[in-house]
Amino acid sequence: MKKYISLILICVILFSLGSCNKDNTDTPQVSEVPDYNLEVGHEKFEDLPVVNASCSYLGYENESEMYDDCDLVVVGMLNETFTDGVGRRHGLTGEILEPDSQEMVASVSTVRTMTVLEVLKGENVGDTLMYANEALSMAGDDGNEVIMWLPENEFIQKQNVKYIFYLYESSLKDGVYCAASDQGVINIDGLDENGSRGKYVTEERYDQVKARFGEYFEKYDRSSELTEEQ
Amino acid sequence: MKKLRVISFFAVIVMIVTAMPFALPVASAAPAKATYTSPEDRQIIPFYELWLRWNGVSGITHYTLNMRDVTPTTSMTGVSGVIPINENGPMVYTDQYISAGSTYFVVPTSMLQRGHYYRWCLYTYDSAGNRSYCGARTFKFEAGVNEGGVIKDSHIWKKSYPSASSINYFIDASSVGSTDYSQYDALIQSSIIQWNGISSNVYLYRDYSNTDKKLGVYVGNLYDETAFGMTFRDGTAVSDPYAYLEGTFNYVDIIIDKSHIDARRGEFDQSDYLYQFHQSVVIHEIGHALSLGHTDGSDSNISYTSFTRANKIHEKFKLYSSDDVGNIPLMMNSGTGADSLTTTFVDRDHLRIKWGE
Repeated sequence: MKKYISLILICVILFSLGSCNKDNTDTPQVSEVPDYNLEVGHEKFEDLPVVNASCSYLGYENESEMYDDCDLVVVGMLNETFTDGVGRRHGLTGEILEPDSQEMVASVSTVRTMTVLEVLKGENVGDTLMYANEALSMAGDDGNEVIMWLPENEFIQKQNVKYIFYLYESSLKDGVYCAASDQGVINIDGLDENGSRGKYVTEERYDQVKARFGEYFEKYDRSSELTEEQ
Repeated sequence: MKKLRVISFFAVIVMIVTAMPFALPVASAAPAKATYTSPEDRQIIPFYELWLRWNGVSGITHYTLNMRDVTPTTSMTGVSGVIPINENGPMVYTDQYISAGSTYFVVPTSMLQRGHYYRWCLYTYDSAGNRSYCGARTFKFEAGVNEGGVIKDSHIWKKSYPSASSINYFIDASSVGSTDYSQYDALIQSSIIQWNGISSNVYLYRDYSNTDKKLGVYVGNLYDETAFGMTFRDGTAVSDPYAYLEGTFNYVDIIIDKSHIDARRGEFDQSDYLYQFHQSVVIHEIGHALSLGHTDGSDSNISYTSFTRANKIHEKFKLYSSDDVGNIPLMMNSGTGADSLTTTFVDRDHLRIKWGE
């Protein structure tokens, strides 16, 4: 009797092993899709009206000057969409104002969490950092949302899209980083034309960034997904 | 006797030769030439109207002006990146008469095509009909910005104050403390008034009350480390953002970043380029408040130039103060006021075009 039981057990084990091998060869390899390639879609902020602010800002002769001057350069993607970020108003000394404050507002920011995929310049950068756009989503008198005071030379980054960010810590030195105003955000996965060649980034600057960090453009390229959708 | 006759003969010849210049008609001398002032050669013109300007000369009866569309045909190729000139392009003006007292000629944009190249030249005439050629200049008429099929000029914003005839402004530099207050105040005040006296319909006057102001200029710390100044149309305390989106706004707030002034103020020496640099930031932002866009057409999205670090600013001033390098000093170029210390012909023209002479 024991013999039969042992034989059945061996058969079951062999059958299971055989099934495992078969699965491995016939199903697509999950590891081929990197876990950092998260879903990218149309976002609410893309449909909102924008009231721009004009801005005088620090500029650079070229990418090299920007790289040298900024605090951090990273490949990153934002974990939340812009309208889910934390909107803040800052007073004349930079302090964060209470929502019902009547103080003069000198600037605004919306803070989101960024996943850092690669650190290209900087030390002791964690897996995430806090990132701010100088803009605020707010409701107008009719209750409809508007994006206020986005600097006219900047754009809002999409969730889960990968960019190279040239970052400065904010003037408050509060651990929140802003991108360099002069073309400090470049899209590298092909999923946001605002950060691509020739829109908010000049062809010249884009080419300079690509010349230095071309390997990351290749590594994170998802432009084929656009083709597949079409 | 024969010798005396020979001497007399030569004496007569000498007299004739000596007197000749006086005997010649005045008309044989070329009349004085005018010299061009604007637009600069090779400039891109983003005007609603094109103003051709020159320095007038005396002793002439009139000018004539010729202008040709020299846009190259598709078959023409340039050498080393130089755009070829189409010598056979259509004439826009042929011997256009201009009276002697004029030093400008306004070309309606209906006469021009966006994105085309033009060449113009001027002649001066004296009373005998002799003329002098004043050379030629080429320029490009800006292609404009295509927004949903509508071509827009990018240098003058349609959205604006309902009127600029009487804008009361309030300066608030209280955040800097009492010691330096007057210096910041003077810097801002001297910058704002640069826009007065250009258009009879634009007058900015100081109001020491913060109530009901149309324009507020504040010194404060901008959150973005790289920002020098920001203009918030309809103010930062806006309750109705749609007012701006719909076409008019009632007031504007401008924030000038304190930390950058502190870092580079040059001890408030007014001859110092850093002081002038900060002045230019204020002048530039006030220009935006008066609904002027960027002169280089960058409002379409891309901003080409902006300020550079302090050591570069000086170079930039030097660069733009020289006409022979082909750069155009314009207060309202993108992101910058550092191209020029005062408003230029172009900036002033834009203000007049927007608000009237």
